[in-house]
Amino acid sequence: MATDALTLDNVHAFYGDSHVLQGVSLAVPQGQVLGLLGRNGVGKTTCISTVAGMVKARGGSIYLGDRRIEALGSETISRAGIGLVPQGRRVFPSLTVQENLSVARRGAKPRWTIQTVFELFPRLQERRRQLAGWLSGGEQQMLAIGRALMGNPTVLLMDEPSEGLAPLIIAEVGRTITRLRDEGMSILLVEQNIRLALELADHIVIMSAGRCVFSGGVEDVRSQPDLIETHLGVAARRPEH
Amino acid sequence: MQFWVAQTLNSLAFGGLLFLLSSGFSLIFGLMRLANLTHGALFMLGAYIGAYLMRAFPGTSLWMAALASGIAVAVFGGLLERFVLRRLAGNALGQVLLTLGIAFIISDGCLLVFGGDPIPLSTPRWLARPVFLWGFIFPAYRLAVVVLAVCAALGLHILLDRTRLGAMIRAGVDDMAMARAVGIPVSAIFTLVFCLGSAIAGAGGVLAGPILSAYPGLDGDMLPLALIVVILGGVGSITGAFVGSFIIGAIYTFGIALLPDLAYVILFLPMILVIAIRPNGLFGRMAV
Repeated sequence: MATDALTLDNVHAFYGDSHVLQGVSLAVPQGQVLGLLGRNGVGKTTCISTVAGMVKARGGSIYLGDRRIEALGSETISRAGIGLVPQGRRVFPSLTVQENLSVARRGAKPRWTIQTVFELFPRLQERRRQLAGWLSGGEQQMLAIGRALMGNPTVLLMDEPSEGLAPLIIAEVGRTITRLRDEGMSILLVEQNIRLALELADHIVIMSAGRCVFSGGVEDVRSQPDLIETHLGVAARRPEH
Repeated sequence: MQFWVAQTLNSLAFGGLLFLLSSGFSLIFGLMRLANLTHGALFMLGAYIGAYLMRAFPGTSLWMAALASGIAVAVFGGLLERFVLRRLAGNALGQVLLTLGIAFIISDGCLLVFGGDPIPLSTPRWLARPVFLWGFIFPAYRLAVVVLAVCAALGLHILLDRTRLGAMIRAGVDDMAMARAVGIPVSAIFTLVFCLGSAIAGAGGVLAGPILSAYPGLDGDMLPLALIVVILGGVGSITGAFVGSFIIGAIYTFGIALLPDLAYVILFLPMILVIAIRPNGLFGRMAV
């Protein structure tokens, strides 16, 4: 069996005093999208922050390919090949669009350069000299994705990339995710927009109270409406295409 | 008329010296959220090292002394950051107490080594003569200090606003955790910025030598002014430090010349107004 791109094995993490991750285990296969779902506050963002090294794991192990990374600092984790598209985008507001990309540049013969990111998001090129703080939410999201790609990661962590965006922009972000997946990128996707998540993901993991309570294919989720209702708090609907 | 012209130049020169002190202070404060109360002592240490070099090695020019002293103080600052201050990351009170304590130690160390008498640093000979312009007499060295401060400001501006390293520093000021998460070597940049700020302070102390002399208490005289400049101009802003330095330089110089009894009132009043009305400073963009 080929090694998964990213593996979490019984990971525990705390946020302040509260025990947020209580033994999370999941795996993102190479070149696939793993959708991580769950209600607010079940630990999805903490899970992403822990992989990125912004929250320290207090137990368990995290592997990027074969390399153990849970004890590394977030700079090193980023350099090891993890790209983070954080919740709320967190672009650097006082840097221009181009500077936001250039500070994250890495790799000798990189697939992703400022030029190729601009090809992916032509709108960023038009705004290259603008301060990122002045961009619209959708543009900031594109910039956050572009910035993560500039590190030429093997695994992309995306925390609610559709949050607060207009439907047209969500569709564009969705197409981008699919395109990156098709190019071989492995993606851990946290998403509140269940319809979008089911559309983009190859596998689904559902979290509840700091643990993974379900892991399976997208069709398994769709065929179990009560699963969605119990853990995601919405009535299941088949996504219409 | 000559009084006003002379005081204006004095205030500009003093503003230039203040900028050399406060620019580094502001950068360090902005990036590392660290009020480095050692900064005034680094300025004084720079002045004393310059004085020592010029005395011990006759023929050493003021510029050579400033360069050597800047490097020495940069090394000292870098070691201080790397091996002492880093252990206190996130502990603001600890950092304040520690940097203040180190300032006292430097201060007493200088007193022990160099004695209590002021040591003037000699002005470079070609700048020692006054310059006559439009019928007024200008001390050439003070003009040179203003020019040097403007050059330093331009250099810092180019470094921060036109280079990738500068963008990384600003990214760290904007969002340190995110900067780390995109792979920016924030820790190395901290040390670098601390060295840079220390170097400018150390060299600035030497350049201040011909005007202020190296004397015990120089640190305590300068540090509050740098604090006011940074509060006025906004933390982490070079433009703010530049404008603030010349404003405070003017207020201080004219305040002492015209209303010596009220010099500190005139100095601290605008600071209080700025804090009350624009808590982030004139050019600041972040809350402290």
